[in-house]
Amino acid sequence: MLNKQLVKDILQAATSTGGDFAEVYIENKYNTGLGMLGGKLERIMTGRDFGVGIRIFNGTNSVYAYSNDVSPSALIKVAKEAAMTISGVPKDMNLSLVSKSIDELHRIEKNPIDIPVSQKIDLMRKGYSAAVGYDASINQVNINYLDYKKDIIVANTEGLWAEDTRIRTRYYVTSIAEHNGVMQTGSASKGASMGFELFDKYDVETIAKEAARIAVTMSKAGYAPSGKMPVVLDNAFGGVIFHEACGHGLEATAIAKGTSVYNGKLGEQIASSVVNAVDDGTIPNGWGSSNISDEGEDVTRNSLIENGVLKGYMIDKLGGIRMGMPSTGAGRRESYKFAPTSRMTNTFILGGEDRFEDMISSIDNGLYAKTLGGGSVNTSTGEFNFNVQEGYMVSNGVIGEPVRGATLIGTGLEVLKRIEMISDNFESGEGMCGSISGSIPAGLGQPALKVSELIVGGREE
Amino acid sequence: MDQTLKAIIELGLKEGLKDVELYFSKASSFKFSIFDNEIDSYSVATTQGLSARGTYEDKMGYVYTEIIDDETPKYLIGQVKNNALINEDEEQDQLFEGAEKYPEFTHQQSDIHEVSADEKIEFARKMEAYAKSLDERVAKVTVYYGDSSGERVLTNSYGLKLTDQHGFAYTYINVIAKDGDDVKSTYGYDMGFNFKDFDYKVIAKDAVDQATELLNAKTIPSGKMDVIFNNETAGDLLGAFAPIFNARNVQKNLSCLKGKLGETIGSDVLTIVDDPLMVDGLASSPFDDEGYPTHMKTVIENGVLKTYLHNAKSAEKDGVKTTGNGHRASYKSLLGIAPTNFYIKKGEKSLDDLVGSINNGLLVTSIAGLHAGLSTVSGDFSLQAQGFLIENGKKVRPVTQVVVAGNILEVFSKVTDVSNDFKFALGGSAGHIGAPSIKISSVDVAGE
Repeated sequence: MLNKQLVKDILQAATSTGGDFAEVYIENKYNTGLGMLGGKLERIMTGRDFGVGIRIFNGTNSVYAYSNDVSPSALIKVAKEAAMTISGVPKDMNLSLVSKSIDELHRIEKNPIDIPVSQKIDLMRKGYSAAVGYDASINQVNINYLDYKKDIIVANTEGLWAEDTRIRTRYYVTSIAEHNGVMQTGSASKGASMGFELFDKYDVETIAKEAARIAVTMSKAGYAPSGKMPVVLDNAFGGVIFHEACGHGLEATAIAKGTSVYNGKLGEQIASSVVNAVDDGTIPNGWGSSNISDEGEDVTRNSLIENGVLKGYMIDKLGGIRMGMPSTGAGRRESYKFAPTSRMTNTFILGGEDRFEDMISSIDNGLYAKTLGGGSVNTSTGEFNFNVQEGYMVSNGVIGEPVRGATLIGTGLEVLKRIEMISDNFESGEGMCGSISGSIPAGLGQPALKVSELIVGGREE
Repeated sequence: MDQTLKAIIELGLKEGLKDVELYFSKASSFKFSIFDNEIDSYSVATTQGLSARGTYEDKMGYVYTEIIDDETPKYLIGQVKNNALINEDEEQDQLFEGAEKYPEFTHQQSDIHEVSADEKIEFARKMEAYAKSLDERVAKVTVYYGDSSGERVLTNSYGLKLTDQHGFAYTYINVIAKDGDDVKSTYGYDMGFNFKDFDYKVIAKDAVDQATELLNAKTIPSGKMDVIFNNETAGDLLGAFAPIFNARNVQKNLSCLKGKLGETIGSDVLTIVDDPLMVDGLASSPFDDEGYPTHMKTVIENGVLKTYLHNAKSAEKDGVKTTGNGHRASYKSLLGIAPTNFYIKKGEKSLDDLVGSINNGLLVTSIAGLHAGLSTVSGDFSLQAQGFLIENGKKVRPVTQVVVAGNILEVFSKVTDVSNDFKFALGGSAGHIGAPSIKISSVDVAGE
């Protein structure tokens, strides 16, 4: 994409005013997005993203500049202008730019660029038929298909030259059911750092029928209850509770500034002793996985919580400098338009030994949240929320009638201690996570687990 | 660039496209943040992007690129043809040759290039220091600033050629206040065409007051009660539900406003307007993103749904004229529909009057989870909230850890009052959304 000599010149210009470190990030991405509504392919957008990001460190601060004008003169100019914000004496830099040898942890079998679009459309039709045929009350089905191939190069003044290719594919179904004038949606999806072989592994009809099932069930459901109660969160996307309640608070993004509720708690019991949690960017073909971080570092399996004790934070390069701790390879960014910061990759609560049936039977009056939606958190206060897409009342130890769309809230420090039981049926799900370095693919997951108390935002009849 | 755009259009026509349209945008942006009197982050950029769309075999194809080189024309036209061929939409976008006349409109000039980066940084440093000086419980402060300027070109093979420029700035402050173990975090903000209009003391004081007033907030018992959404949260809610007014969503069974045109869907104090020609509106433009002239429209008038928001394609399907709300969030987006300057009209009463009229209720000053906790299909919402408990017409204590739940159509019907304290929300790319504080009767609040 850019030759090494030009990159060396850029790095030299960037550190000409005394910066401690400089990095060049080059990105070339081909995208395909397809949308089928009501069985008709109506939204088609393909395109190419291309740009360069230049970063300079000065002590514990950094400067970032990015551009699509990648002519040599333009890039040197950008580097010099960014460097002008620093005033110091140039230091010795390692511009050897030795190619980093990278283990291909996420093999792609069927590059989506080689797959005729007609095959992708056929898959969408299959999903559409399965969803719309599930029940007469389904009156709309939307299918989104996306795939992309992103080539990156990361070079820096530590002598690094790292190249990587990321390929991701995702299939997302939303169904709408109408019952007695009530319209409700149900969604289901699957995505991975895989090519078209994703669909050899996961059946689109199963995904589509699940979305339809949720929509139909919720269209006949009553309101969720209101107030504090025990909640059983099912597996897979149930992991959103950890992602919001704890995950973001353990990123150096907040920890390095001293603004997280998890600051100063390394080595402390922050969760009940049944909780073990990891952030693992090495999981083969995981949605949030990659061979190297967006700073060119090795991605790690990072144990965050062991038996309820806080063991580690997720740390990027700048976060590491600010915290005086080594980087854990957590630097990620949406694109060249963002400076990287520490982000989650695939964040999981690990399996326990309790049985799902025992969790339910332990509840007199509570909620079983079977399918979850997204959420958000304020890492300074630990207050988080996430949405229940599909829920059921639990009364006297038995799962009862379906209830619809409530948001659950809590605070991170309290809720982690209230995880009482964890089952053994781990599954993962995929989502898009937003933060200061943009929107990135993040895997999450857990087994089913029981929280002794959350506030459920339902309605009275 | 003009030559490049011309060359692409010519190639398209030569390669068998019936018509071709190009959407080109270029922007420079600058942003930074101040934390502990240091520049915590700093970013400068110039970016550009180009999208092509055109009709091939009676169907529309789209493509975009961020790289503009010798290969670009061939790449764009090839993709437009491929993408057109697989398009199954029963209604197709039609390119517009342009209007004879566009509304008289002069874009506001922006002063962001007359102000140095150092001045902007000094402003933010002062805001941080001032915030910290206001109350000893203020623990940490981050001040953010950003500005952007650029131009857009919309041109097609029918001779349409429209250009406009933009320039605006925004600033926001995050204040973290502490009292013992209790921590509260709030925001203050401003945005507009001119840096010189920002008053750092006003922004800082707003955020500090909010944060300190929320300290030691607790939850409340669950129940139904009168709720006031203050101007910021009412704007956030309106913005999140704006897609229900999108005619294409209505046509495709994706909006809770399906079948309600002409009906009374709100109380008679509720009027909602879309005004693309507002003199100081950040989303103002005399033409929409497909080149149609724009005009002001009343979407809800005293509770009656008067119109959906249309682009040319949705209007054609409904047998009406476009409302000039054709919108592309960026060169990476297909043409859709979005509001422009979109707001609930303010009333006469003050916020204090609204609070004074409530015996037992909640003043909501912040909501969260909007991206996940609501549905534009059903109109349902369930949102994390903070604010103040109201008893006998007075704010008695701060509240946190509650959820307000309901349905947007019920909210519209149960608006009993709108105040005179209007504010625009700090928003995204789909419209500039504003509202006064609004009082809603009998809303479900979940807490204890």
